[in-house]
Amino acid sequence: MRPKHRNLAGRLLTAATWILILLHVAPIAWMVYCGLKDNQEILAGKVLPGRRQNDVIFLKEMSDGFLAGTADGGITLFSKSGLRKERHLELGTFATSFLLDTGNAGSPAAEPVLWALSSNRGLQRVDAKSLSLQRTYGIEAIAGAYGSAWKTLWVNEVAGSSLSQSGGRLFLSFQFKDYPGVTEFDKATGSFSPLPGYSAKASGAVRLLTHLPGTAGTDSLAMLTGQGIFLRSLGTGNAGRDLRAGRIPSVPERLCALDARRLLLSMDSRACIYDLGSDSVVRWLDRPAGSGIITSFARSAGRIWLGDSRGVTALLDITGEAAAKASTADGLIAAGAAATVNDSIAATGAMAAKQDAAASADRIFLPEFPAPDQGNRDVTSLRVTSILPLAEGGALLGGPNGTLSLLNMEGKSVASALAPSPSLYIHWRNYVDLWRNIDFGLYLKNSFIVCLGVMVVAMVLASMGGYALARYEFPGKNLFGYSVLATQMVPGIMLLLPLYLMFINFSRATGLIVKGTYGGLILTYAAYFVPFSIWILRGFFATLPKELEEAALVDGCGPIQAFFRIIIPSALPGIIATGVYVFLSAWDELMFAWVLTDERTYTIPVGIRLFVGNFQNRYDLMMAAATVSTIPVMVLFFVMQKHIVSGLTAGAVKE
Amino acid sequence: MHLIEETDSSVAGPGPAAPPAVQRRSRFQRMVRSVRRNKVPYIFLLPTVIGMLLLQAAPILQGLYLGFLRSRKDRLLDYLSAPWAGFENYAQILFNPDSPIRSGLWDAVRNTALYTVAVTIGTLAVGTAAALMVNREFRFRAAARTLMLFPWIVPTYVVGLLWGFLWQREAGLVNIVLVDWLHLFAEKPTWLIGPNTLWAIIIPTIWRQWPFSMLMLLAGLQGISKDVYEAAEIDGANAWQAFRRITWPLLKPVWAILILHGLIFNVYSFNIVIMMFGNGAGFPGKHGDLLMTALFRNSFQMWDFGTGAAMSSLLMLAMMTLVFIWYRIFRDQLTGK
Repeated sequence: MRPKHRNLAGRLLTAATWILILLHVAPIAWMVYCGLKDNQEILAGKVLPGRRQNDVIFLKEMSDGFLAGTADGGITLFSKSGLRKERHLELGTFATSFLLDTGNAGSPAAEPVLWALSSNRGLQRVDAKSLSLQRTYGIEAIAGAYGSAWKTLWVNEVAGSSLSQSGGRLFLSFQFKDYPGVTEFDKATGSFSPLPGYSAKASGAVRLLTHLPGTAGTDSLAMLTGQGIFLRSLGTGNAGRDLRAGRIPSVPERLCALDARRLLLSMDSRACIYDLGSDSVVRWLDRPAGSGIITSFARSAGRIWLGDSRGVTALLDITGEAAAKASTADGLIAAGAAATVNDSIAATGAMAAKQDAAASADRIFLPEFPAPDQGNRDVTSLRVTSILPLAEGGALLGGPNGTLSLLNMEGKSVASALAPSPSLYIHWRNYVDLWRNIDFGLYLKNSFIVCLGVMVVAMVLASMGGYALARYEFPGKNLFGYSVLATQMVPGIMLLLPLYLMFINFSRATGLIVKGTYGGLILTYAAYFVPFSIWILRGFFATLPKELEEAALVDGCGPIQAFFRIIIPSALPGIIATGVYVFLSAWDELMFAWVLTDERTYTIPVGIRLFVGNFQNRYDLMMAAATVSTIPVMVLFFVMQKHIVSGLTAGAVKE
Repeated sequence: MHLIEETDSSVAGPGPAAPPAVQRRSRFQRMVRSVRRNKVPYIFLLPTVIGMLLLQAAPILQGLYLGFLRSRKDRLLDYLSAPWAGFENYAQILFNPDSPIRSGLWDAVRNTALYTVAVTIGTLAVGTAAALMVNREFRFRAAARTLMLFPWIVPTYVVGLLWGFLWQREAGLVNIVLVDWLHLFAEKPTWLIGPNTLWAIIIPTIWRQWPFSMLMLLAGLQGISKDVYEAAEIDGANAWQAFRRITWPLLKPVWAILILHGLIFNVYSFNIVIMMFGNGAGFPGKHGDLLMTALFRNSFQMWDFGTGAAMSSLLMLAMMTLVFIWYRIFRDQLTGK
């Protein structure tokens, strides 16, 4: 026989077997894999893991270099000449925002501090000189400010975070549907408290927080949301103004304060300067035709910088405080338009020769970001995600995937760099969310309690019943055997309904709660699984030699004693195998648990069903939940594999 | 107490004829004596019997009775005192073509029939092929068998959840493989809406169930001694003849068991469909609705217990008929004649 299997047909058959296995196991592998993926990647149909979306969102000039922060919590210090990497810190955070704290204007801090806010780690304090993490205030600490009104956030659902500061106070908010508003952080005491006067429920989740400067007590905070701009004074009283759509041309995507009165807004591909004093747009900022959606902006002395998918346009800021006060809005718009439309592009060439002219004209910078490497291939579209205007006229620009480009005052790229990035986009966030937000731990616990309970009850009853059927002849034996078989043919739904009503009526009559308790479900399951287990165990007992209990009886044991002392131990492998099978079947049961549990006793299938209804498209979470509910039974099965397989097949093949 | 003695006494026939007046008493006495003599098995079975009477027999009888009542949604808890309706519920289901229950029910009946047949055949076909593949000797055979068992351990609600995701039009792996990688279709097919729905529930069910068939059939195959095949080879039988004459007859009883298992398991299939189509409140559509999901909706979402119970009774009747037919067909294989 043996050489036969070495021939071609045998090899082909073996290959076919492995291909079948591969196809067969692939869905499970995909399930586990997707539980570790990001939902955006899943929805986009991306199979291989990509890099994280680590746009450079934060750029600051330090005394010894440029500090760059990415959305995934990477902080890198680059040298000023040549953009060499000097230091790097990986926070491993999501939806991160940064704020460099150099102390108050009056009293500069001895050590500059970098604050990072993220959806998974909360607020973190980083020493900006040495790039070392000093302190973490977790999400729980932030939630503490709200007591029971708000508990936690979904790491995955947070679109962004924002930080702002005024004096010794830090303000933070998350762009998340349930986040209550703006939270204040006292740097001196390290305590969080809600900012009064602003509610996200009424005004929308905060996309961006901006501090509007002013003299002490008159400064205020601007919240940008999907509904408009909301201003709150930080002095006493928290007076505020709401600029909803209608007051402003349309709801902006970006916002920054030019000075105490003027806001720079961008909406889609347009940007304007809004004057809070006259409550109107004082200037539309025109860029060359073909410039796309504005992706970032910045301001420097005398210039406004608008970044888009092509490069950066640096416009002259001709609406200074004095000009804004002097003239009406209409006149300014006309003046602004006249000044910008002409020769805004032409300014790029021959800049060196005409520095003076260049200084008084709009300019365009076209960055040269380093080519994306292998892992970045899917995000090739260039866009400027952050701008740092430099004192000598040039700028440092940040782009997608940690790309940086340094341009001189003529708009020429002089250096470029790539911020380090974590390699794979596989993470445990989904599991964190499952435990933190869906109470999956409770479902898991309930499932274990119910299934173990059923297993124990069913095995005690079924080994007694199976033994009685295997060893004794008695009137009614056939009747019992047939009813056991008949119960397997009854649709579960038929008894579910009366059972449900019986439980409720029983509780009404006696005051003992059955529905929604572990006991009720365990008994129901046991009634369902015991007949079946008796049928299997009868086979096991029949294989045991009769001499076993005969010897025990001779030694003076009663039949019941003999059963517990002699029979049970010798049939234990079979009993355990059947018990594991009952456990697996009970773990798999949805319909009865659905009707007979309540929120304290939901088992895993009921919990999953509920949350699938609430999170229709969160495939990452669903697959994580699916993985969690599969792993216990997989482990149990493979530990007991030999027994279960032999037990089940023995019963089936014998019949 | 000796076991054999006990067996003898319990099967003893009725005693000699006695005068009528005493017979009543003596029959009762005989019962008491019988219970006393068979104390051990009765004690062992007592908790099970009580449990089955309370939690199986009582609800089943109530369910049968409910089918003849006109249930009232506002007084659910007094369900047993609802007005008597006779065969009204049955007539609604079987003979009233305008009944809203009926239109959905016939779709469910048709789908369930197709589903059960397709799944049972598919499961047996793949299971037999896989059992024959694994019954050979090759490297890592044990690992291959274990890997094949994987999907069988995945809970059915996870199967529904997982395949509901795999069938997604844009994000699903099935369309990624079939369209993006293999270019088998010009555009991505929709699986979870329309006529494809039935396939979308049949394939995952086969995927989950064939390992069980493989396991059973493999056990059957391994019970066949190698000597038998070697003897057949010496006698000049080719591979097909060996299969036809030796393997096939031995596999038939296992097939019979698997067909029964497939019948009961698939007609009463619930979890996969309910999880695949959203939160369970969602309707799988007329091409994907099965009897169990239709019944569940009818009872626990519309709270129409009367027709629900009537449908369940009919379903139970149908199942018993099918099992009877199954028994008639496979009686010879099962009893080894």
